Formats: sequence, C-alpha cells, structure tokens
Amino acid sequence: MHIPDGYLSPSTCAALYAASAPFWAVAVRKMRSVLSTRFVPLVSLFAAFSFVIMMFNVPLPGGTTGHAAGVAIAAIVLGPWLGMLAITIALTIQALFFGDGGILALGANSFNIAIAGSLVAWAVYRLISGGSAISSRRRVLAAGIAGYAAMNVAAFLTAVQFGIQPALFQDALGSPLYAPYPLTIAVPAMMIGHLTIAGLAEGLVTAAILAWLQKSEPSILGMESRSAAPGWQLTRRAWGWMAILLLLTPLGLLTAGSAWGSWSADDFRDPAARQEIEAGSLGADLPAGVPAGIERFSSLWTAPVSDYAPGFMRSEAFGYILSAMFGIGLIIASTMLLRRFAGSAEPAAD
Amino acid sequence: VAGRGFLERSLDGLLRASDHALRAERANERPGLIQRIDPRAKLVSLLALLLAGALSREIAPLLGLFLLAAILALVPRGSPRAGLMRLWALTFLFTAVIVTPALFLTPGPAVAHFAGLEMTATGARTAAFLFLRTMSAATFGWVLITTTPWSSILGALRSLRVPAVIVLILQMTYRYIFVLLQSAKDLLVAARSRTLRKLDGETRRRVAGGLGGTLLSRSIDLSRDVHAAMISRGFQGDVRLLDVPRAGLKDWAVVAAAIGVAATTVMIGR
Repeated sequence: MHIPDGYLSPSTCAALYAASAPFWAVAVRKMRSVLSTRFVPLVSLFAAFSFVIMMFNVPLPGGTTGHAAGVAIAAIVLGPWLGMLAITIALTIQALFFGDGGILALGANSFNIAIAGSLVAWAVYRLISGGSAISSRRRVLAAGIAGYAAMNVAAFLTAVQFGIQPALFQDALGSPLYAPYPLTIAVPAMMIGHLTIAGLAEGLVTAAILAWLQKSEPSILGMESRSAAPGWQLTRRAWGWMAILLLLTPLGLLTAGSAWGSWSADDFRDPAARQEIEAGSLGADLPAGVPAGIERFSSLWTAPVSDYAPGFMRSEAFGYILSAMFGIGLIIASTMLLRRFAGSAEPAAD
Repeated sequence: VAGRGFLERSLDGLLRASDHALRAERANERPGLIQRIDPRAKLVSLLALLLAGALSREIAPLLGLFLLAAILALVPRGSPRAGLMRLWALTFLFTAVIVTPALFLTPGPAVAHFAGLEMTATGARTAAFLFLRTMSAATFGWVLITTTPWSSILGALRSLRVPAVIVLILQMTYRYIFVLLQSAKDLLVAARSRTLRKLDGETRRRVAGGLGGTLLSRSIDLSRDVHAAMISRGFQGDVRLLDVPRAGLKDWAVVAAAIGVAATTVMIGR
C-alpha cells in the first residue's frame, strides 16, 4: 500500500503534503507542550514497533497470510495524534532508509495510512467500545473493526489518488503520465485486496494484541484516556495557513465556466455552456436536453448558502469567503461535538 | 514441522530488514567521492532530481535521468551491486505487475498483438513512463542510502528546518528498530522451537497476537527505561542536536549541478 514515487503527479504529492501539514503541526505541538517528556521515547518506540510489526506475517482464515501496519493499535493506545505521529515516523524511516514508499509520495502515504488511518481507527474504536470496561470483549471487537476500517479507508484514499491521475495528467498523445488506471479500475483493484486480506490482517492483529493486553498489561490500555488531553486546538501557524487557504478560495472565480462535473440544469440549456462541456469531455456527445436526473433533483435541495455565495452579497468573492468560513465553522462545530462525545466515552474502571 | 510457515516467513522479513541496514551501513562508511559530499547537498540534489523525474512528460529525458542514477549507483568503488540488482529486480517486477494490463487497457492506436489482445501505443508509453520514473526514483534513493549514514541524513533534515523533536524521534526510532528487530527475532525463534505440530488457524492467530502483544509490551517497558535514563541525564523537553559542518564550495557545486540537470530534464521533457 506504500505508494512509490512515480505513481502520483508532483501536484498531487504537494497537495497531500499540504493536507498533512496541519495534522502534523497539531500532533507535534501536542507532544511538545501538552504532554510530558515521556512521550518522546514512547512515540519513538511505537514507531519502531509499527516498523517491525509490518514485517510480521499474519495467518488469516483460509490459510493465506497478510501484513498488518500497526496503525490501529497505535491510535488505540496512544490516541489519534500521537498515533499518527508514530506511524508517520515509521513511514519516513521506511522511505528514507529502506526505500519502501516514495520520498515525494511520503505526504500521500502519511495522509492515507498515518493520518486518516489513525483518526478512523480511533473514532471507530471509541464509538463501538463506548464506556465498556477495559477487560470487555466488546473492546476486542471494537479494535478488530477499527483495524479493518482504518486499513480500508487508507486503501480507498490511495485508490482515489491513483484513479484521478489518468484523467488529470496525460501527455500530448493521451498516454497517462502517472498511475494509469481510472477510478473504475483503481478502486475495485485496491479494495478487493484490502477488503479481503490487508484489512483482515490489520483487524485480526489489532484485536489479538488488544486481547493479549487486556489479559497481560491492562494498564497500557488506560494510557490514552489518562494522558490524551484535547488535541483539537490548531497551532497559530496552522490557523494562519487555513486563513490563507480561505482567502485563496475565490481564485476559483477567476476561471471561466463551471468546473467539470459541477454542471447545473441551466448549463445544459445554454448552447455556449454545452460547447464547453463537450470540449472538456473529450468531444463526448451530450444528451439533447437536460438529463432527467439533473432536472428532477436540481429543485430537490436548495443549500442554505446557495452556490457557495449568498445572493444578497454584491461581491461574489466575499460571498465565497463567507461560505468557506461557514463551512469551516460547521467542521469545527462537528469536531467539538465529536470531542464532547469522545470525552463522555471514558472507559469504566476495570 | 508443518504449520509454522508464518513464523518462518516473519523471521525472513526481519532478517531482510537487518541485512539491508547492515549492507547500507557498511557501504556508507566506505571512503568515496559521493560519501564525501555534504549530506544536505545530497538531500537537496536528490529532491531536485526526484522532482525532475516526476515533472518530465517525455521518455528521452526520463531515460537520461535513469542512466545518471544508474551511473551514480554503479560506478563508485565498493558499491553494493548485488543489493542494487535486487532492488532493480524487485522494482521492475512490482511495476510490471501493475503496468502490464495498462498496455492493453489504455485506449489508443494498436501497435502489436499478443494472444488476441491489442497493445496500444499510449499503453506502451504509459508503461515506459512508469518504469523509468519508478526505477530512477528507487535508484536515486539507493544512492542516498548507500552513501550517507543515517545520522548525517538526520543532520541534513534538521538543517532543512524539520523540528528538532521530530529529528530526535527519528534518531531514537531508528536506534530502537534494531533492538525490537532482535527482540522480535528472539520471540519468533522461541515460538518456532516450541512448535512441534501443525497448528490450527485459531491457535496460529492467537500465537501471532501473543507475539505482537509481547513485542508491544516490551516496547513500552523499553520506552519507560529510556525515559528514566533521559530524565536522569537532565532531559527537560529541550532538544539539542549536534550541528552539521558548513557546506563547502564543492558541495554547492554538486547542488548547482543537480539543479542544472533537473532543470534541463524538465525543460526537455515539457
């Protein structure tokens, strides 16, 4: 699953480094200021553990074997922030010293495996385990599903990144420059292997290690809930980057026409817009009228902030910024709700 | 004894990682022209060349880049060529498995027929792009690994503004990977020597869970010991690392040459 260099375009790699940066910033800040010095060696040892566990062959039902990544157990024991830091460190050493996974693609691998994987594993584990006792079998099930979900989400993100390459990056003759398969091939090809083998390996290893820890080292399982102070506060620099991205949002307005695939019923009625859609779709023939589905569903839902820019705003750019602020506000509100929910799901004393 | 395949295969994986590290460390300790270049200069040059490989949209400049990587990897005396051949073989096979269907599935004019399937010109170009990009990236990475000690790579990362605490964690992780590799090998050998009959699937999974759990428990115990040692030596959370010596004229010349090659590759391959 580690993407080597050569499969993703430099712009995709740069975008995924940029997407990973705020998460890394929060994780580093959390370790530096919120937590005690003991987390420096703990994260190091967890990264080393993840590295070693990736080499273990895991026996799977049906006689086959697979490899786990240790993402879910790291997120469960250390919490999502320190977990993602430990896995990022393991991926960095693999890329820089063992040549496993690309250096340009390190941002993508970290985003898919370390960041998305840790957050998904932690959320699924907390959701299913709820406030159950440390020794509960429900936690073993929660850990197994968390591992399975984390690996499949990471695989899906990887597949999407592969799958968008041929549509976006081709040479003059139409040859894909990077990963060659479209989403219709990349997604099933990646997911079949992960839904059956890799996801199962991660799920089984996570569940088996958790069951072993319940019996032999239950104190380790209480570590995250005792030590994980809220990590949702972004650093000042990360907020700064988000503000810059927010201000850059109206740049999309400088381009003429609608984004490919974001057409409205009006675009299908307007002859000039139809020509643009045809040109952007490699000359594919458009249906004669407005497609029935678009016609039927376009009036079904009117977003509270229509077309990203409310009508009463004279400046479209200002409307975009306001819409983006509204969107980010919604994300922050959801995050705070999730945090409150997670906080209320502290494990019961054994 | 049957039924212990996963233990042996796991052991093989651990031995391969140790072997790779040993070969790389032996190679980068040897005196050599590339070994003497400042690690920051090597890292910046590597990034420039990797980026050039990723940006190029033509086959000829990509081929040139791969030849340059191959020369840098093969020419120095004492270069671990067997390891390089293994890397090339693995990268080639992995890419071949991925790219072979694209030869036939990529829409375009047919140029050849195999077993009733049409190989397209666009498919062949896509395959060439992917082979040359992955092979040259893997080879440049190999050159860095076999000519630069890990401590120097970390020093270079620090100079490139990677936070000191991350560099410290990378340093500690690398150190403890080998401690845990040894520990995992001992666990696997112990488990294998106690396995006298074919294990059923459930037992094999329980054994694997026990091995992983024991390793995790040992990792956490070790982290407590390391933390106690760090505190006893006065660690309060401030990280101080040794400075890397200043780069000389020769190192700047290497960076300029690498950026020149990268820029030329991108210009030709636009």
